[in-house]
Amino acid sequence: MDDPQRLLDGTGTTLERTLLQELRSYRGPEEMRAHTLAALGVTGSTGLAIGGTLAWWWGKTWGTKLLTVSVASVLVGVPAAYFMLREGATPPALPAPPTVAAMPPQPLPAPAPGTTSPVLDIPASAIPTKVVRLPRRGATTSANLRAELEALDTVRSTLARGDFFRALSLLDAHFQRFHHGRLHLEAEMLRIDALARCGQADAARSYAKEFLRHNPKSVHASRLQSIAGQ
Amino acid sequence: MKSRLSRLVDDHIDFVARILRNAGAAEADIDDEVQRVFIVLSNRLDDVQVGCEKSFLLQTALHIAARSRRTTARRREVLTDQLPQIADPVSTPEELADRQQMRKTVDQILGQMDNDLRIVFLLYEVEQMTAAEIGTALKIPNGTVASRLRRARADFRDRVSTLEHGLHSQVG
Repeated sequence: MDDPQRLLDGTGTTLERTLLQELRSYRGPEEMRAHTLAALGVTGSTGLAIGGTLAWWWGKTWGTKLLTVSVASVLVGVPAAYFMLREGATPPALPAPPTVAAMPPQPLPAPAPGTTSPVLDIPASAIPTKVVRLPRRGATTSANLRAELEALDTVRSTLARGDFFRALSLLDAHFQRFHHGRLHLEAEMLRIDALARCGQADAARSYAKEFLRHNPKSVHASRLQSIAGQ
Repeated sequence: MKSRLSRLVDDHIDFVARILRNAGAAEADIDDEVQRVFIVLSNRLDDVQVGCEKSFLLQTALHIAARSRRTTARRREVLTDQLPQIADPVSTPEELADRQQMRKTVDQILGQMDNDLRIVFLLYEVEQMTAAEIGTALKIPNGTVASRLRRARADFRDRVSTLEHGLHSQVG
């Protein structure tokens, strides 16, 4: 059976084709992909981006490659030269970073039975009373969104390695840096996850309840309900 | 598995968003509903054969769009803080207003169509799928696809024709 010719291919009237074109041209919200990848816990967006760039560069002709290298050199070289001229021939030496290995690990005090660990004892006042979806339009640029996604990828891979305390400190930094971030809810989810996995069950439950109270229809609702004990 | 998931998101996210939107999900819910569709896929990824992902995504998106329509009908009003996304980002305000009006018009036309007819119509006319692909994806015989498509086109053309007559009488 042959398929009939489509209206968009010429059999439709101008208005019919215009309306169908309108349906076909629909694109979802700008941040949809980032939200979806974050919800799926797919890491490696940085790696994919670098890989894609390298693949693009590799496929180019030698002339394009030389041009790319020249442009990159100018972009890196000019600010570096400016800095050198401004600051003197030799930039001041940076203080040596503290050597983590040199410091003996401090044993954690054992929590008393029925209490939570003092290391991450979170006061009730620190728990947000409201988790809100912030206005999206015009809040951040797509570059910020990419940076936000990459920061969450780092948190997620830290969590996957089992380094929950490091993940929590990264999340604290994340909330400070992306105060009005578009992936705020995803970051909240990771915080609840990290708290639950590092033994801070009470704090995780409080966060989960607050999250559910303000986002009952969230895609994460079923998972949070188990954490919140509902 | 994650690379497969990531590739599927890249390949099909626009398709899923379009299906959801054109099948009646509210503009304000598209972001969340797209996530839901891919979370369902993620949970069932081992059961979905390679090459059948688009069909799976389509069925899931249609199911979720139906649920979204019911929820929207219960809510009775749709609040959104976003303007609809359009393909051409350099539209003038007049063009933008025209396109928003056009989207509203086409939403009304689709909203009045029978759901089964509308789905076949959208898959054929908008997604450019063949009748055989539609039959496989919706698990209906090819004859049913052809019949629904014929009725859907007649319905759509009637409604657009009525609209055109209305426009001409306003101008006249």
